[in-house]
Amino acid sequence: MAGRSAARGQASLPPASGGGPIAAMICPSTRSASTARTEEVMRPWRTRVHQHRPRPRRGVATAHRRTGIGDWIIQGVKGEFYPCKPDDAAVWHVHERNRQGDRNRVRRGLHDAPSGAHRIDKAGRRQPRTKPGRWGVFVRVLWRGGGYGRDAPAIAVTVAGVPEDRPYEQVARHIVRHALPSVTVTQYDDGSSDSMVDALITYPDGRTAALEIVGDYYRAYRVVLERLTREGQVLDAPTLKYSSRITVEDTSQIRELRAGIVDLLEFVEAEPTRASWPGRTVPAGVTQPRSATHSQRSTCSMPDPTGSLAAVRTWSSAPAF
Amino acid sequence: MVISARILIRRERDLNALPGWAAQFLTDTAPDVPRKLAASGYPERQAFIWATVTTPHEIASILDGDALPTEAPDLPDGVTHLWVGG
Repeated sequence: MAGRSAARGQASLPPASGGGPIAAMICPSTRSASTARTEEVMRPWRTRVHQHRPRPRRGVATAHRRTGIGDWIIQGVKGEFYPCKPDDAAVWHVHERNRQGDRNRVRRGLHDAPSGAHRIDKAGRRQPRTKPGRWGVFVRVLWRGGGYGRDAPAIAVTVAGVPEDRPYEQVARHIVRHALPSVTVTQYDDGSSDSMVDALITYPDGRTAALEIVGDYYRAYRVVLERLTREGQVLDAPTLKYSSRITVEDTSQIRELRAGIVDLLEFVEAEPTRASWPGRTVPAGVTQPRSATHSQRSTCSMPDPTGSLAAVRTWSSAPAF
Repeated sequence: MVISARILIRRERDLNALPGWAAQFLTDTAPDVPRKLAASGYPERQAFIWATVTTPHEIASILDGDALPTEAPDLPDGVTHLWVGG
């Protein structure tokens, strides 16, 4: 299966250095659809691929269309969503574009500008973007199980960059332990309430202190988080079989995401491929522990413009799949 | 053969910019931190701020050195102790 995945990753995709609309670079499809549902979901995408790119060889896109836990879902320039495997070159390419955009914004002192909201003209001035979403949107299916704490299936949406402060929190707790060797520092916030502090520090004499950990993130992350909070981080999806937790990046357009994600996940459920994802074995009828979910999320989709967080992953003590 | 050179230009660092930045960060950027800490009810409430790639360079460069600020931060209500990491 690993060999097949590697082959899929190289298949019929344009070189990473190419320009042009993102949508033309993502996981071309074929007409080998097996269900009417597939035809319905994929039709707009296929139409655009015909306009920009030659059709790929048969069989490649069939694999791409199946999306399971850990796979990416990318939004095209018109708000449509495409499922992609993690080893897909298109995923890497779009992610690199996002990262490069982050670097450019930092270099030009514009890191406070929401991603995708502006472009920079030749004079270095900030101009409104004429093509919203051009940098693409990442959504990653990270968890799927029954209920999500509810009776009916639902989709929980979180923002990459904000939940990814979990490794930050782990290192921060370690630093506090290191600086104050006689204390114990334990994680306290289990996500069950918004008002919980991140950790508790217990001194040898029994005193306890609250510890709240925060990162100086991009403004864009905070904007998306606020928007999610306003519009709801849990989306009821009674037509779905399973609940899902997905993570979006800061360039995400939440409204479009909410409008299209149920359709996409219905399609995903029609072709489950959990067992085919190399290295990750998730039992059927999965109900994963929260810690495992957090671990997976933080090591899979952390926005890391400088690559400086790579070592942080070693601090994760949560069980891996 | 490719030869690359890296030039690092350093200017005098104002160590006391750090507590001012941290206090302003907690007040303006992350006001929920002192709010959550205050609501926790614990007598000792510590905030840990991670400086990231978007943190102003004059602040991040202080964290690279060994010297510490000499001024105490003017912390907002709700925060009694402060950590800054980078």
